[in-house]
Amino acid sequence: MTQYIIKRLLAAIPTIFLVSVIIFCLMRLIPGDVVEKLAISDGGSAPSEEFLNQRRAELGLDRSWPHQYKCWALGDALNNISAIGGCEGGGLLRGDLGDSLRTRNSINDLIKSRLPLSIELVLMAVLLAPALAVPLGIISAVKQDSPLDYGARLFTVLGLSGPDFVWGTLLILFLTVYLDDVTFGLFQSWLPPLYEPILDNPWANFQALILAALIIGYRLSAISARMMRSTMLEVLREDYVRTARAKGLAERPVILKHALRNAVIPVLTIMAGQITFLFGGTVIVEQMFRLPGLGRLTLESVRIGDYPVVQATVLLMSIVFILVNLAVDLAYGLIDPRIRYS
Amino acid sequence: MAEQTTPAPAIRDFATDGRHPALDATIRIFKSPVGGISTAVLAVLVLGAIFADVGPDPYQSSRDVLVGPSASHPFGTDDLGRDQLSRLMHGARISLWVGFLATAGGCLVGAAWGLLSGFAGSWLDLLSQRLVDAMLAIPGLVLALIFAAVFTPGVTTGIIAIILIIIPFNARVIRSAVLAVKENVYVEAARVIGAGPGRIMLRHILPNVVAPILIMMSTVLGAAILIEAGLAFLGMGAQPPTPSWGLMLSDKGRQFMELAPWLAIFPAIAIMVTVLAFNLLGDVVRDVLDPRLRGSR
Repeated sequence: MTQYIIKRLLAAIPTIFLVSVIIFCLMRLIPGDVVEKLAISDGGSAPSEEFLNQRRAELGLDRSWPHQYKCWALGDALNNISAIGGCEGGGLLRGDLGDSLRTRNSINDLIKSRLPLSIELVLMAVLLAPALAVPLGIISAVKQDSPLDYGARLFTVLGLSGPDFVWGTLLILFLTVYLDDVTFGLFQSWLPPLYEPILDNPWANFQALILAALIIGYRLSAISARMMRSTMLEVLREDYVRTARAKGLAERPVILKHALRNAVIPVLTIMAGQITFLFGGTVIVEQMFRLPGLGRLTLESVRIGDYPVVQATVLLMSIVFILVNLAVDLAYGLIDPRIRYS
Repeated sequence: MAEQTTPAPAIRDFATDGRHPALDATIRIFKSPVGGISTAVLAVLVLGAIFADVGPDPYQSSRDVLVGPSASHPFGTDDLGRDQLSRLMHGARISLWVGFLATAGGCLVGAAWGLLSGFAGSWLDLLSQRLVDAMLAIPGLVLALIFAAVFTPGVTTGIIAIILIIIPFNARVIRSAVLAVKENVYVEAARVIGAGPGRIMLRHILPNVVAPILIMMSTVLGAAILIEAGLAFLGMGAQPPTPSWGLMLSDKGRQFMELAPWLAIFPAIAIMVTVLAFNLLGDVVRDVLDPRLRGSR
């Protein structure tokens, strides 16, 4: 088991390295670097080329890509050995993500302040999904082709077809324009939600995030409910389910014990695969509900060309993706005792 | 006589009446109720896209500003007095164009990648799978955002970005299909009689992974349209005044939400109905082409 985990973690290293190279190169391909964009957004007359070059030199952007990559990954570690030194900071491998090109603040601090919101959002969505999907999927499969089944399928099909930004816009529209006349502006106060950390004000925190979490959680639950239904239908036809019924077991333990355990594994896989889509979803809902999270930080930084920030957030998202997939693979062993890793 | 029950009619019921399997699959798709309805919806969309030029100019502003749905403007007008029905019809052109092109591009490149990687095996396969891993680990929307920033945001950039997102998914699925097909005896037989790798790949393996490729294409179509709308919604896809659905929703739709809710509702419905129709059609295609799923739904 421990060996298996170590093996998987080692196998993740080349993947993470490739992700870092892809993002590093893609960001630098964006025309007009951060220096130009900031100079333009600050307004005033067009800055001279001399000034821009001076700024680039200050930020280390005048160096070659390999050199910049070395600085990003290793920091000042190899300054004494290599011929071209001049890197600053601790470097990625020592846990220093560098400084934002725009604000010159530490990205570690920036992420520390932005990450909790996104984690909360994703967690709320991830908790919502099985809470809705498992019962819906079971009901839908057990009462196949009944009105209940059709209702559940309508729910999933709408969730799959309406992207988060469509449901989000419709939800805001409904709450502000239509429902508001009925509820005397009760929901109006929900809409420009001011985010507060959960420890400072749990209720305000919940209010600020719940709509956004519902929106991204809906899609995830729709996908999982669909998978739950089809695997449940398959499992209910298996011999061991027939055996369980034949030996006189009541319907409830047959479904909850014999069928559910076997049907839930593919649902877990699907949910783990959706983690990247959840992060994509946070980009959209955080923008829509004006929440200062990781997704919005990524979008803003892509726009302004703040390379190290985007590199840091994307790397973080992919590491989470890889770890979640590993965790899910390990969870299979807990759910299905036949699966053993060695 | 008791000899009435010859096996022949029973077999003919399940057989394809001598039709080509591809034709038979197509007929089965259209005959199923869900397949029929979604095809009908898509036909309306295609017609709308084709005849989009019949209506008023989608870029032409008029004095009928923010008029609600009425006889002259069935879907209302926006703040510049542009007819929304006409804009939605031109938007259908963009969505369908992006959807089909991105799906075709992404699935073909991804399938070729998966085919080569699965067939080649050894270090080449290992290397390409690590690359697929890396591409899958980056959130697709973020990848598309960065890509859109590299080039000028627009419809064409969007298509390329979506192709980039689709490729790794396909490469993975097709590769595993190839690995399964490769183990078959007929592949070995072909090798024994001296067929070269190119011939084995194209004549013996490719025809047997066509079904997974088609299934992937049908499931990816709706997703491609969604990503296009999402990019436009974030301002990194089609740019104003292009009548892209995602842009209409985020731009005028959210700006005039209280004054003119129809500017948000109709583009939202357009996106949902289109993606819904493609998703349902994708389900039917999968049911028909994937023998394992038969009878389970």
